[in-house]
Amino acid sequence: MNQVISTTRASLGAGATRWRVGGGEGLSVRMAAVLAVVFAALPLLDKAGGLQITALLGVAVIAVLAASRWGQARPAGQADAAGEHSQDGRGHAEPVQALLQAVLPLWLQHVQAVKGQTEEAVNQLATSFASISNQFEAAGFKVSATSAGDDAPDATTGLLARCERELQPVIAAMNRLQQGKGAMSAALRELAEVAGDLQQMASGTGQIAAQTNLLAINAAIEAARAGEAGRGFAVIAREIRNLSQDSAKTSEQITRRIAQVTQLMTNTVESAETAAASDREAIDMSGRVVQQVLSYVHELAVGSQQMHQQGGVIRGDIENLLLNLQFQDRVSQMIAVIDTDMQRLRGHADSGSALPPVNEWLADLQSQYSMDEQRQSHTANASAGARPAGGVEFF
Amino acid sequence: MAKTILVVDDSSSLRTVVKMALTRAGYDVLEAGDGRQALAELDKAAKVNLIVSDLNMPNMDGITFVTEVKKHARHKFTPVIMLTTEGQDAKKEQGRAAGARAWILKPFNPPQLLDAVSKLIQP
Repeated sequence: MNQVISTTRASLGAGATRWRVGGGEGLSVRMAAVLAVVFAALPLLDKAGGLQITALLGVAVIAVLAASRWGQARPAGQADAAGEHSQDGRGHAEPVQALLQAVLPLWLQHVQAVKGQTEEAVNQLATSFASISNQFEAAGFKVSATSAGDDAPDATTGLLARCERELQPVIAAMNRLQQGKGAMSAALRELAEVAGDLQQMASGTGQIAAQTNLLAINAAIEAARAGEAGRGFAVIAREIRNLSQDSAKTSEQITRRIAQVTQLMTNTVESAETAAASDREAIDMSGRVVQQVLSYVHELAVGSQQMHQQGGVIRGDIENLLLNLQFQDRVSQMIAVIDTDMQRLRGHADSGSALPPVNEWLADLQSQYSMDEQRQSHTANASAGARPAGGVEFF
Repeated sequence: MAKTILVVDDSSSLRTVVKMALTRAGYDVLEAGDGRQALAELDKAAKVNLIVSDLNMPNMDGITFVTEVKKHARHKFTPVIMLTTEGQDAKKEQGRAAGARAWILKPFNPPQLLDAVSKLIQP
């Protein structure tokens, strides 16, 4: 083992001077590893079995690790033959450079992935939330701060008021109609009374006719008794009798007619009263139905108002959410600065060119900042006061 | 007829937020992802009444863009509001010198943006 280590160390030294053209560090380690494997394998070539193979691999790995460790631990004086590397004298150029070459591209990819994922996700979120907010706007929800509402009466409350305004006259009209029919019944009853009066008058006339008839008979008897002198009177008495008989017939006819009319009117009054009763029932029912509908509309109005208020609050929350997504823009800018600086370092690692002084590098980095936060982080001055957001300055 | 505002920013989500705030207030909104796209929009559009622009953008940054706008045939007098994370006075001075009329720090809140817009927008 010691033999292997010292051999690799020597070859490392040789490799460092011989393969110094860019990426010298990587090549010397590889070469050292190959040599280690070769030397480790020699004694095992006789009997190659599972155990031997494992031992071979183990030795090879240890050799590679040892080689790179030795390479890093080598004093700085031997490393600066080509005048490379950092002023802090932290260690050998090649292992660090190889590491940077290997790992910087990976870091860059990961950083890009972070930037890409957050951008994509936030863009989708922003689009979705904006769309939801637009739908709320289209549905008529106004943004409101709280759900406890003394909001202005909305459309549904107005509808309720309109319903009440338009239905009440209908009910009033129906009531008037009912009253009108009542008036008609009253009029009919009056007519019936008048007919009754006429009836009495007709029978009165009949009696008068009967009386007149008797009178005529008496007059005829007296005329007969008067003999010759009463002949003229007898003629008149006969005429009167005819007249009274005609009167009796006429009054009989009147009586019959009046009876018919009275019957007609009675029938009419009865059916009018029946109709009036069912009208009242119908009107009452209509009134109840209208009241029921109005109470439903009222419930709807209340529910709708609550929904509008809550919808308004939700819409306000969504729009706040959207505003808070502005963080992604800042994050992207911060990542972009990191990305640029890593690219710069990678460029140096790949080309093996000399690095500028630390101060210069840092100043360059600082010049790329676009936010006060970045500047505060740079000077480790994180508590330098709150960031003034949204401030407007007019020129 | 509604007034038109051009919003220039490389962050799509930020354009969405600004567009929402402006359309709520009744403006029509055009979008562009950088200075070059924005200039193309200015060429195409009939009339743009105001421009809201970011500072740090690829292809053409905000200061250069404002300078170019001031040379545009039809839109050289269109007012420009810068909307940016940058708060340094030196940068603000650059913006003012290039012709910007106002400077708003991100993150913005809609009332302030709308106030600035209503004060500066071309009638």
